[in-house]
Amino acid sequence: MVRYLAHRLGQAALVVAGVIALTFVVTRLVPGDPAVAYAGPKAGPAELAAARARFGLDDPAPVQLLHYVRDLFSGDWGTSLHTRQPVAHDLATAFPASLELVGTALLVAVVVGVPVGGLAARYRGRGPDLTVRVSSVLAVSVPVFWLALAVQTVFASNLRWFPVAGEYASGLDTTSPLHVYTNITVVDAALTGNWPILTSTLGHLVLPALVVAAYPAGLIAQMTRAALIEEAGQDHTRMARALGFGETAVLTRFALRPALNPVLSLIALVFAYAVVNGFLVEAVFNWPGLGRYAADSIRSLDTPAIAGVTLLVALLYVVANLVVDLLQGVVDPRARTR
Amino acid sequence: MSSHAPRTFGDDLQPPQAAAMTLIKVRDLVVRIGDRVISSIPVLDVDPGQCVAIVGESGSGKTTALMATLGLLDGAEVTGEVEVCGTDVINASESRLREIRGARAALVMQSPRASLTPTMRLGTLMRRALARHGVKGDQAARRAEEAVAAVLLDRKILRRYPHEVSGGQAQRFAVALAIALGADVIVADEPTSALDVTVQAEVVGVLRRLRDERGLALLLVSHDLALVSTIADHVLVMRDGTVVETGPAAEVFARPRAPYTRELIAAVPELPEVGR
Repeated sequence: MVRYLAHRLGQAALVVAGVIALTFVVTRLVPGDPAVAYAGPKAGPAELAAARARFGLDDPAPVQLLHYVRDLFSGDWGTSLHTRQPVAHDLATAFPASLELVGTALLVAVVVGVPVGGLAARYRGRGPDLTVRVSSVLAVSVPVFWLALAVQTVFASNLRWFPVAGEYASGLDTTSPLHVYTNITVVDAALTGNWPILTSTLGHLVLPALVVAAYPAGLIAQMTRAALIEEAGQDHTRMARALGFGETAVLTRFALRPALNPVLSLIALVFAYAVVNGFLVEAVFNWPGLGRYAADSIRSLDTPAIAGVTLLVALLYVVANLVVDLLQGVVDPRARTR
Repeated sequence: MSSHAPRTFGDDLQPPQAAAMTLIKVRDLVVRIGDRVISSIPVLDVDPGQCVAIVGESGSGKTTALMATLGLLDGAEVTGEVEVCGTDVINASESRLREIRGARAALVMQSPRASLTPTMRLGTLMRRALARHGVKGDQAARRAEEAVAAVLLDRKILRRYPHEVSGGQAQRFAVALAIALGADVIVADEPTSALDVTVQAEVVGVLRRLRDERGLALLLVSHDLALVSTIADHVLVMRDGTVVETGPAAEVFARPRAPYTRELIAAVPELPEVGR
């Protein structure tokens, strides 16, 4: 397992190096001059030259890359042109709310998708299977912004079952101020026993989390169903039946674990997608996450902020893949030998 | 015998006179998919301590017949009479079949490692199988160790995963599962075809010893006449889903009457000594 872990960490380090280089190149290809964006459209040559010197834009590209890598590892991800704050600080402030939303959504997607896919496999070709297949195709097909607007209109505006927008009720900042440790509101509220904010945040999370969860849950259900059906036809599951196990036990106790391998790979793939999907949902539900920051950065051609968001999402993808690789090694011992 | 019974050679198609101890009893078994008969066996009996082999080329219906004895055929219509350890397999409830599967009649499959759950240590698989049939705790641990010892495996194998053992070890472990569960019958589908020659001999040796020492009954499917001739007491030769010849192994191999049997035997360079 240690060798497997070292191998996977080595691979992840290589991918991170590639991602950093790619992010650097892409940000240099973005149209527009970052010096103009920083100094303003009315800036004179001297101010532009100062801005170029400040960001090292006159250095040769390899030197800029080296400086970029050095600064990244020292925690300096540049200064946002529109917030005038360090990008690392902006990301650290905005990202936890996104993580809270996407993390909850993925948890919901796994908790719903795997059992529902299992149910479909168990009753293949029958009512439950048909229901799951139709529902999962719908969940995957419906555009996320449309779904967000639809559930907001029905369940928040019309039925008033859930709050319309925001992370928690606005008055709570005054009546129950939150002590911040992780910047993840649910975690901080639970850690400090701030029940008003905890319950309010959980209530506000329901609709956006369900919307973000729809796409991954549909995919996970379909993949679980397909993988379980494939495993159910393998020799080892025939052997389990020949040992006297019933069909439900064969699927849950013998087929499920090997079938989780492709499901885990899928979860890694949909994670980054869910983060980006989450940006749209954040906009609809006014969720204070990375989505708004990313949108503002793009609008103002804020190159350091764009690079920061891009790099963060790419790193998340790498970390998600690494975690999945490690989980696969735990779930399926054969993966450790590959 | 039913009207669809094929032309056969030999006299064993008639039910034996004394079959009080018969562990597998098949009469007029017909397996159909749609209108097509894919396997039919007029008469087959397996007594304790006896090895009956079904031989024939690929697609002759022998594995289908074998799976029908355990009620493990999906999507096929099975008619006739199949009795395993006193249970009417065709008409029994699924829960009754689950009681006899493993505990009375165990399966050994063709691909040894593929037939064992890849994500489960062999000891865990054995413990689960034993627990399924009501054997738990220390008794299960003791039975597991005794069973692997009976097939000449080290007990350390119980801590390994299927991909960490050889094909021969995996196949002997599958036999150990049957022993641990106290099965009276082992139903084996090409149990040595995925193994190299020396390992084949090991597995056959284990099966033969268990048959001789424990009175285990074996129903064996194989296209390997050389293997069958070393272990089988009785042989059914199948072609295109029907039995073309049946009789004591020594007699069938020495004086084959069906042209197809003669072709099969002629295709084998030299048969080893027949029987025990």
